[in-house]
Parts: sequence; structure tokens; C-alpha cells
Amino acid sequence: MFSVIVLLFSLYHSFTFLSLAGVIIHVKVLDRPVPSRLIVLSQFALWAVASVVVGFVLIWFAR
Amino acid sequence: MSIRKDVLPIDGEVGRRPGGARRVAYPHLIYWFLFAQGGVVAALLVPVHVLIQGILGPLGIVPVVDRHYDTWVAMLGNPIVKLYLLVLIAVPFFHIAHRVRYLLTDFGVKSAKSLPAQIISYGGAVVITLITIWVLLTTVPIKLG
Repeated sequence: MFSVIVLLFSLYHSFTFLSLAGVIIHVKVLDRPVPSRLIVLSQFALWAVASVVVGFVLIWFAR
Repeated sequence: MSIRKDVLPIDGEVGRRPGGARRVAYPHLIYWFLFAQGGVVAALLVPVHVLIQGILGPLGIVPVVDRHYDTWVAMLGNPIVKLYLLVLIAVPFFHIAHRVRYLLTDFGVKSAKSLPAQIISYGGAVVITLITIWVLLTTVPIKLG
């Protein structure tokens, strides 16, 4: 039960923190600013990739 | 160095040199760097650990590396895993330290900006970092190869 509560709070942190990336990060490519929506999407994609990699390691090395 | 007018001043924490020039806020540079890094680590890595090691593993839905002594010891002997665990555990505490201190500041607690408050919050994170290093170095010997 404790882990479920912790998971909810950590997901809340992840969602709010990564959503703010579009406000914080300003990147220019070919002298044109990258849209904040694209930056937020890349952050969420990075989160998904990191989760898959870490999850894979945690489960794979259990064998 | 130009100062943007839309950026709020850091009252009471950034002093001025005797001539009146602004002093570079080196402590803030470090606090904000650790705050940002801790936030990123907590956002990207913590949920999957909680989900797999805290919920799915104990429920027996998936096998997890830390559920058995032999697999966990083999994993923890790797220096890269030790370094990863140090970052995963220690850095978010600097994020928490900064966040709680500024939460208290936003609530009007003026002493949250004081030097003792900084020592307690960031010092606490440093203590946790040192304890983490000690635990990681004294539990399973480092194995190379």
C-alpha cells in the first residue's frame, strides 16, 4: 500500500516536472526556436525509454 | 552582466560587493544545479523502480533482481550499479532540500532563507549522500569483470 502511494506521488512529480520542461528549456535549431510542445514530448519519450531500460535490467538480471 | 528586469531578485541571499556591484551567487548555482538534476533523476527513474521493486516484484507478478540474495549481490558488486544507486538515492535529496526550503519561503517563513536553514536542508542532503556512499562501499565488495 505504501508503494502505491509513493508511486502516485512520484508519477505526479514526473508529470509536473517534465511538463515544465517546455517552459524551462529554450533550444534553437537552425536559428529557429524549438516549440515547447516538442520539448515536452521529447522529455516524456525520454522518460518512457528510461523506464523501459531500467525495468528491463531489473527483471532480466533476476534470472 | 545585464540583469533582466523580469527576473525576481533573490532577496537576502545575494549580497553586493563593497562597491555596490552584484556578487555572483555561486551557492545558488550549485543549489539550482543539484535541484534540477535531482528533479530529472526523480522524474525519469524513480517511478519505474517503485513500480517494479515496490509493487510488481513483491506481488510476484515479475521476477526482480533484488528479491533474491544471489542475484542482488551479483548486481550490487558492479561499480556502475553502485554509482547509479548513489545518484538515484542521493541527488533527489538535494532536490527535496531546495524544494522544501522554497516552499517554506513561499509560505512566508523568512527563516527558511537563513544560513542555518541552508545548512540544515543541504547539510541533510550531504549527510544522506555520505551515508549512501558508506552503505554502498560496506555492503558488497566491488567486483571488476
